[in-house]
Amino acid sequence: MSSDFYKAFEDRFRGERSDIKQRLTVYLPFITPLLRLDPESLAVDLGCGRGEWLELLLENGFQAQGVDLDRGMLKDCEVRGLPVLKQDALEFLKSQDDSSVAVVSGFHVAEHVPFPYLQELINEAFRVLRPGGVLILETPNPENVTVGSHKFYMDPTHRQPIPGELLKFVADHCGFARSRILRLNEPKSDGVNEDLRLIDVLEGVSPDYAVVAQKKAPVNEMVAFDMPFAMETGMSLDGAANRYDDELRNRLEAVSQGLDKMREQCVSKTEHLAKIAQLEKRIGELEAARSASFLKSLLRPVARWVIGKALTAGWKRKAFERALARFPVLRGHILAFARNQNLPGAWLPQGLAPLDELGLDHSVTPGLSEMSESERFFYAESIHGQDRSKNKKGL
Amino acid sequence: MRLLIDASGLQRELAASPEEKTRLLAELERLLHSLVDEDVRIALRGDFPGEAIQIRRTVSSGIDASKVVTCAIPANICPETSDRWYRGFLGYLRADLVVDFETMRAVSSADLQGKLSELTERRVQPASARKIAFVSPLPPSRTGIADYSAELLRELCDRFSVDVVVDQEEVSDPFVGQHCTVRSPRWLIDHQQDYDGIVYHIGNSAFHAYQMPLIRRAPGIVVLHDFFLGDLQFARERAEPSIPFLLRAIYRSDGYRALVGKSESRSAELIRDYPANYDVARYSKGLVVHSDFSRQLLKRQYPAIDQKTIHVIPHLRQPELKRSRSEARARLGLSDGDFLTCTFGVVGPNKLALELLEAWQASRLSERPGSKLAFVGEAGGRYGDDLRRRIDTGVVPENAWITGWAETELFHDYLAAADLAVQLRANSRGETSGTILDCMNYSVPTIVNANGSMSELPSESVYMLRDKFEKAELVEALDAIVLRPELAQRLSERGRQAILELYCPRLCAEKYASVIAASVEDGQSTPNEIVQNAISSEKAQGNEESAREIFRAAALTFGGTQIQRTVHVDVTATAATDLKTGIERVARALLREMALHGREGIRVEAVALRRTSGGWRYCYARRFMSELLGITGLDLDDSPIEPASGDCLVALDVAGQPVIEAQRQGVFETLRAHGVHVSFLVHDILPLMQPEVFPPGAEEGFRQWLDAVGESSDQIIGVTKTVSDNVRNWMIREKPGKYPLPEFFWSHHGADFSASAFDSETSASELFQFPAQSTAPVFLMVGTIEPRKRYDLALDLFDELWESGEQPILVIVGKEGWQDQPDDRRRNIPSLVERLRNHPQQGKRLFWFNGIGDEALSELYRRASALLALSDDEGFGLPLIEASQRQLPVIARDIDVFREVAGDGAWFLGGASKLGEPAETDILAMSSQLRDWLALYVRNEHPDPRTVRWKTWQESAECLLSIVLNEKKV
Repeated sequence: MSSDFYKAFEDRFRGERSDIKQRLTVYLPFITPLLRLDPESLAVDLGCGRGEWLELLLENGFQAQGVDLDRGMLKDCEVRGLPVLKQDALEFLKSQDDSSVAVVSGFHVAEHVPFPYLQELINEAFRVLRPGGVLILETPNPENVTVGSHKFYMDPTHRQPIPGELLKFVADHCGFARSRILRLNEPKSDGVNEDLRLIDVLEGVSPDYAVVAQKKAPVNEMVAFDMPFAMETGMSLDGAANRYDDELRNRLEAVSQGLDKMREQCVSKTEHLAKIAQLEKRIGELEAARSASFLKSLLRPVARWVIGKALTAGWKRKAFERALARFPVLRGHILAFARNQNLPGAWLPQGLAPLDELGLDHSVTPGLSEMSESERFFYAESIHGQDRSKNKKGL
Repeated sequence: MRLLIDASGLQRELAASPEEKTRLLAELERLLHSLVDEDVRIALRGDFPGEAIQIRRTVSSGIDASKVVTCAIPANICPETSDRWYRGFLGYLRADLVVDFETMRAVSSADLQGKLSELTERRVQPASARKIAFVSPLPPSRTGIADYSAELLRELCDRFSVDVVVDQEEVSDPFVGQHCTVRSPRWLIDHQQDYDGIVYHIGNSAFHAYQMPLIRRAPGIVVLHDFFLGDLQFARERAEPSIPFLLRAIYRSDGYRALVGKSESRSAELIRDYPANYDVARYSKGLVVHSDFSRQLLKRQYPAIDQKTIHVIPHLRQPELKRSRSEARARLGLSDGDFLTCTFGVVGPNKLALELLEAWQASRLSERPGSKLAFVGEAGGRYGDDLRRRIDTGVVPENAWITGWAETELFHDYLAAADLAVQLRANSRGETSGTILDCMNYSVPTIVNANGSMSELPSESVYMLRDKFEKAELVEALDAIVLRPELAQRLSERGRQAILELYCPRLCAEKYASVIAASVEDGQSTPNEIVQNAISSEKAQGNEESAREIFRAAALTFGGTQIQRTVHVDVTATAATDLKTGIERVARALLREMALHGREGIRVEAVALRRTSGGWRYCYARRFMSELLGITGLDLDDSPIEPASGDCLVALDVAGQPVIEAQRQGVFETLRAHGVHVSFLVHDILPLMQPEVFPPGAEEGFRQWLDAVGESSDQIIGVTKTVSDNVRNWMIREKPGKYPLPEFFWSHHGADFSASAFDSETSASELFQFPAQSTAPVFLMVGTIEPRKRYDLALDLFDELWESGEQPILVIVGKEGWQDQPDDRRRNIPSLVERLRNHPQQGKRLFWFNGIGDEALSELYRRASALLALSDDEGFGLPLIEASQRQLPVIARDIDVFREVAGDGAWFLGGASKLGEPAETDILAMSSQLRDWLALYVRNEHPDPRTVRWKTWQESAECLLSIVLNEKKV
């Protein structure tokens, strides 16, 4: 891969120089205490690239040395007057004396090299670091779902994603006294109350992390570093997912409370309505009672009983019919009454509305159910005819 | 000429002197033969049912059953009333000439024509119609039919005194207001006898809802402007939600199959697909349509409809007293050079408005300066919005517009102003397009496509595109109008000419007048009057029973003309039980297939015998049917059926007592006297052939049933040829000459994989006790544990095999039979069950599953080597078919039914001993035949079950239907 390509790639994807330097300041609390132990502290940056970290080191009073293999990058550094060497990182470390260096760093180096090389690099770094010296290795965070699934592979020179816990384990295994994972570069949120969306769980986890490891030194020397090692940073996948769940649960809780409140209101309104309906019914009953005369209400059950008997018993009905044959009007009244009272034997109930699709009463009375549809039609027409002739006579 | 022969005299003669029967019937045949070219119908009296059946049988070869009509006479009425009733019936049939048989037979065939014309001349000519009722929405109702009616009335009022019957607040048309009396629907019902004719105009919209109940109560001539009336029915439903008008109308027009899988929520689909116009077609006295296309639609939908009652009268158009074109254009703001293209009428997908817009935009027409496109009509809904958007996004959007609903003035302004009209249609369903005539009337050159009735427009009067034209063709047509002014000129002239000659209101009104005149019934009573007369002369107002009899006879006689042949499928026993096995299962499957895949134009109805206060009657089994087919929302009760001459009744199950009693009460005789063709499906006659394998006494009941079937049926259909032959032989042997033998047919059952005769819930896991990996052959027997299945013989046979050291496994699947009977009536079942339970091989080489689920049964079919069927006799032997479907070899007793069903696909075991007969030698023979089979099986040379032919239920139902409908002579 041509060197200009990689530089162009870095320019395109790693962001503006000042932005990068701003981001790198997060490591300063881990290394500035070293200057108190030794003002002449040397910091070595493996794969120094365009030299943002070298600049930051020099600005903060460190002696600095950058190492890189990419000619384009080195030229950039030389133009800026930064101290760089063109050499393989491991070779460079091997050429250094034991306990001679205060800081060894490698930003986005680990994912570019084979794993055994990485292990050896960490071993050599441990050797060259002085007591209390700090190793910083930054690399993309595969815990971030978009990084792990595809963004990592956007860089064709990447070899394999390295889970944070693995890198930390390698450092611990080498003999570093303490180490931590520092999640980095997550999108900044404006405020605490901002809603977490699912896309935030997928994309919002810190896209990079660094393992920061420190070589053993006397306790009094190490104390100065306790604060940065205990500092909370970044966003983990667990954290994001849990926060997302919590927020959802809270919102659902609020909705369900709102529903409960509405349900209570509904119940009380329904009760009111039922009371009103009861009152209306009562009023109706009172009105009906007022209009029906006392005499009628007394006579009705008696008439019901008498006519009912007369209509149902065979010989009585015949006698009844004979007696009434001479008084057709009275007979009509009695049959109408019987129909109104729904007495058995009161044939031909009247009133056939509403009509169905054939022009027939659709609420089939028991007497009609044994008639076919056309029989019902002729029956209804016959009733209608009788009504009509009655009306004519009335006129 | 329509000739009606009154054969009631012949019936009386036959009844009085049965010995003369042959001679009398021969005379009838001779008469019919010499009248073969005439449109002849025969009238019979229902109170001589036996004679009616004889006459029908005699004439059945020469004349369609539906043309022989029987008048039901109310029971127990006096002779005078019944004669008056029958005369009323003869009048109701509306023949051109009624002659009685006695008069005709005296005439020699040479003089017959002379006699007929003499009689025709003597006939009293009906007086012409003077006063008519005109039932139609009228302006200001916003429907094209209102405007049409107003135009038609201008002509009709010259010929008749017209009352208009409307259901609207006001009638705005000044002419109608001046010349007609406006009446209410109520008035029409009460005064229908005052009119010489009643004319309805029906279209597919809510405006016509009020007319629907009137058509039956005050029948008249219906002008059917739309063939599909779903929207109208739906509108009625919205007005009266308690009645599912739409579903019921579709049930009546297209039967159950239209409703399967549909519910009220799918009404749009139902409205689109089904005509829902049954009541109109059935209860009108005559139908008028505007095109031959609509007439064909009616004929296809209702094959039995009387073609003579359908008249085609072109849509009419008043030749417009031309309003000034220049004034109209000025009012519309058009200048001289503008070229206005219009399309008229409600804008919707059926009018292809989008296609027109696109073609117009693509044509030279739109490029021409001053070219405009107007959609004159309402454009609602999403389609309208779509059209508007497409106009706005096109070039020069201000040159195309939609007017919205155009009042008459504006509408006519556009007609007068237009330079070109484009009237397109898709999915025509028999509607009439009056707007095309409007265009032609205004001499506007018009482009149409040949959709539905538009294809009948006179050639050269319009520019006719193909029905399903390409866009390019429409563009070409538009270009042609621009490029060739002489073409536009010619279209304009020819269109106008067609209006003057063919659609002239005077001409159309004359046709209406002749249709109305032909429908006038001078001095004839309406059915209602006949019924009322009978009630008053029998003093039946107060006598429930005699009134009921009168209504019952009236329903059969005056219930309306039949327009669809119906097959009534009797499932009395099946509908009364939840059982889904055996015969019930067969009945359900056949009924279902007949209803869903019957044939076009034939109704299939499930019916059942029901005991009513008026005796046994056939009633619809609608609730059962709805459940069977999963139809909801029809909400009709199981009322008695109203069969018509030409219908069929086929009984699928064995209803026993109801059939016996109904036969005694003459139910079947009445049906046959009224021209219903009666068939019975006979599943078997085993109780008669082998009474010892049935509970004691079963024989007697069965004998009575079969007697009743023999007396009642025109046709007996066996489920196998063997059964059919057995029934015939039994009837010849046992009942010689007692009744004329019915015809005999046979139709095999169907079979399908999914259904099983067993419905208990045993899962396959319950077969665990069954050795899964066994090299021994497994024989499977399926069927209820009852004597004739001969499980005893199977045990004897296997005992013999086991004793001789062989290792076959016998699996029996079947419920213990006759569990509702006491043990002493269960023949050998108790001892057989005992023997099965305590058999030393039980659980080792003998397995009995008393009820099993489908899944487990399938598993058994997979594991078995062969199906074994040892019945002494069977009706059909469905397990053989089911085994062969699963490619399981079949070993069966050598009986006729199994030979018929399985043919060469099975291995047959001899041994003719019946239950109770000594079987030792048979067992030795059978065991050796079984060993032979095993030897073949090992070499894979046993009979291949795949050669067994079987029908699906659909094929079986189809076969049955063609027998019932008399299409098939075997």
